[in-house]
Amino acid sequence: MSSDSAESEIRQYYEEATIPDARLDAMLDHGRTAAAVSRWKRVAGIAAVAATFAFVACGYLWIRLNQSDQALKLANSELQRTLEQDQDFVPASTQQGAEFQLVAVRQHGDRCPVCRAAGEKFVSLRDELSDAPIDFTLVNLRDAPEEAKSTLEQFDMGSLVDSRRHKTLIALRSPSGVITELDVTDPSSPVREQVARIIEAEK
Amino acid sequence: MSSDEQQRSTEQLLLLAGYRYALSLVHNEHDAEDLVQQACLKVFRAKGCLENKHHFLKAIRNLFYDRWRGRKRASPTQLPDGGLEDPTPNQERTVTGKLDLKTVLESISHEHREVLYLNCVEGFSAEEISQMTGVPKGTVLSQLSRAKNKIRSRYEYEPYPENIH
Repeated sequence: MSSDSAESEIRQYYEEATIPDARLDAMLDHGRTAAAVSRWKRVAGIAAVAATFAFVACGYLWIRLNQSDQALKLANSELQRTLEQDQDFVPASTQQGAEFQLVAVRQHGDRCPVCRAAGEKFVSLRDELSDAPIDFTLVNLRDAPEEAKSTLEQFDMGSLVDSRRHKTLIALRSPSGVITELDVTDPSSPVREQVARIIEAEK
Repeated sequence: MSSDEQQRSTEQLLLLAGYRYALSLVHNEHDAEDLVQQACLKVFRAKGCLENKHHFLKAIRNLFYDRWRGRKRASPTQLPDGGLEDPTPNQERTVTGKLDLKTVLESISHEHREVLYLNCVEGFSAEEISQMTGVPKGTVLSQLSRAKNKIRSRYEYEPYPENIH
């Protein structure tokens, strides 16, 4: 038997081996389904990773916000407690007939850090300057706007506060009606010294 | 013919080629079909379509070797080797003149069947077979030569002496 005839018989043998078209179609359909499943699996995996990441990020942010809220509430409660405790406090100056008025105006209340700092400063100034001839008034614009407005009008500070965008301030009003805003952020000049200078100048 | 139909017919031809290649490896229709189906699923999952013949044949080969290795560990004597005895009696050989090709192919090793198929049916050169299977070219050539010799030797028979009755 020649080599060529053996090869042709081998070729013929394999070419006769075939699969029915229906079976081939079924294989291709299964393959396409598997490809689609694989593709959707990848999409689902990516979506799951993204969702997990978003969930973790949201959880982290929620915890952070909660912590800062708790810190804020704690700080506010301490300030509130201080203010409530000091409600009965009557400075000596008031008893003697105060000449100066120290007015702290708070725009937003305790939730705002600037207003909270102003409130804390007001309390500390009231303690520090208890021997000075000063009457202390705290005005909360948000809590009681009508009352605050009438109080400010009483001290001739209505136009001053209304003209400002950021209304939180601490000011000292002299008996002659001069209103001086105190700079509570300047570390080189403490408020106590600023007040002492104003009182000295008025004399 | 639309592009979809054309692609489907190309994929069918590829599947058929894969089936014949698998048949050359396992020499069993059911196993070959199973192998092709698994390879088809594997390629579809990885690539999304059947496009590259070399890639598809390689997937079939890899699957076959994975399975063959597993079977070899489980029962080392299951696969036919080149040293199988010809079960056909001498009288039958005398009548038919030659052995059935299927039986002959069954008696040679799967490596020899593989190179025979790739060379004789697919028309790949020894170089291409070497690149495809990762076997050195010299080994491919010697396997091809041995396989053809075995086929030839199986076909050749000694005629029954006429003076013996």
